[in-house]
Amino acid sequence: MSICLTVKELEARWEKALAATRAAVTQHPRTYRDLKAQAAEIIENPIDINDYFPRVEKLVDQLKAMDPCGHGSIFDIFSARISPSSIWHIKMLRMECRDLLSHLNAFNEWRRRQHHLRMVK
Amino acid sequence: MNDDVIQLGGKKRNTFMDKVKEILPEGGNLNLCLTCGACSSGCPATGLDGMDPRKFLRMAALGLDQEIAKSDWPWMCTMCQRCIYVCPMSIDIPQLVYNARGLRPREERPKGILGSCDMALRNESTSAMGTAPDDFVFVVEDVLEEYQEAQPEFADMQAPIDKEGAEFFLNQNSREPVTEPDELVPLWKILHLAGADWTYGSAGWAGENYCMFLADNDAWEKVTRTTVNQANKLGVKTFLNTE
Repeated sequence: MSICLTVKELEARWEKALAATRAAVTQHPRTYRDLKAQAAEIIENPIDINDYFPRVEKLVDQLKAMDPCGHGSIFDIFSARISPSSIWHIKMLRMECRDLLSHLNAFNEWRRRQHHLRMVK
Repeated sequence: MNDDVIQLGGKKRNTFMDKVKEILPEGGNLNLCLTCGACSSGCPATGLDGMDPRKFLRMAALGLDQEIAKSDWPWMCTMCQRCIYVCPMSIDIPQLVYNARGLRPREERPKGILGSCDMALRNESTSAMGTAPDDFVFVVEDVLEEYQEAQPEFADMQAPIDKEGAEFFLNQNSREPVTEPDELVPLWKILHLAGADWTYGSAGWAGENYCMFLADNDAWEKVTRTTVNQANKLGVKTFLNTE
């Protein structure tokens, strides 16, 4: 991994990730909704240790289905982050899911700004 | 029926989110952390306790303060600052780690560090091993005499203590005088051959400061001030920190 990144390069990556995320969401809206629901469920409910691998497998499958060719979207990045080999500790799954939803919120805000949409409450 | 009143708190007070924002440079975006991970790649504590600097920073950004306080990882960080060095945004993660240590009540912090800090506060030596000033003076004089006799080429070598107006004030890790006194000598020889005008202090001679690692600001300051005051009292021009 390069350690010579500049803030400008990171910003370019982030923009690229957001654009790739938008393409993925447009292409797989149902999987996107299921993925968010799945992540929210993991955050809000206790998980039996026996369910850990099936849950993570399902989540990683959904993330990969969103960006199967690895275009650098948020889903692509998190499919590597959430895989059991890189999560270090089972207790971190909930944190990673929270982080995923936090990034998807940032994506939604970016998308709203792109379309000049306003949230009506 | 349970009559306990359930109180719904106001907005959650988030210590760490505020801290993270404070250390972000102008225009810094925490989402950029996602695509980098440089901090974790160079960190010697990556993977310990299931944590790494990126996760730690993300937890802080997500407001997981309680989880941070419970984690043992901040105590495994050596504060080597490699993460700052490689971070394109120069985020001061060790400062966050220091603040995370301070979240725990003092008595619940790791016993080894806590005991060493308390030991340093026991006397004027500031030694984490609790060595008294008299013992340090005795060991230095004893070892010096031994080497002056055994090695005639260093018969004139000095190891002054509380020498007023010296050029350099030198501190010393407690381990050498307590467990390996012979290890004191190589530095004395270098200073002797270089013709340096130096001195130890009978107070504040111990260089280690576990109170810093304990995140005990008052004790950290007390230990450091003891050394500084002794150096100032002797009118020494330069402080040589060997730690």
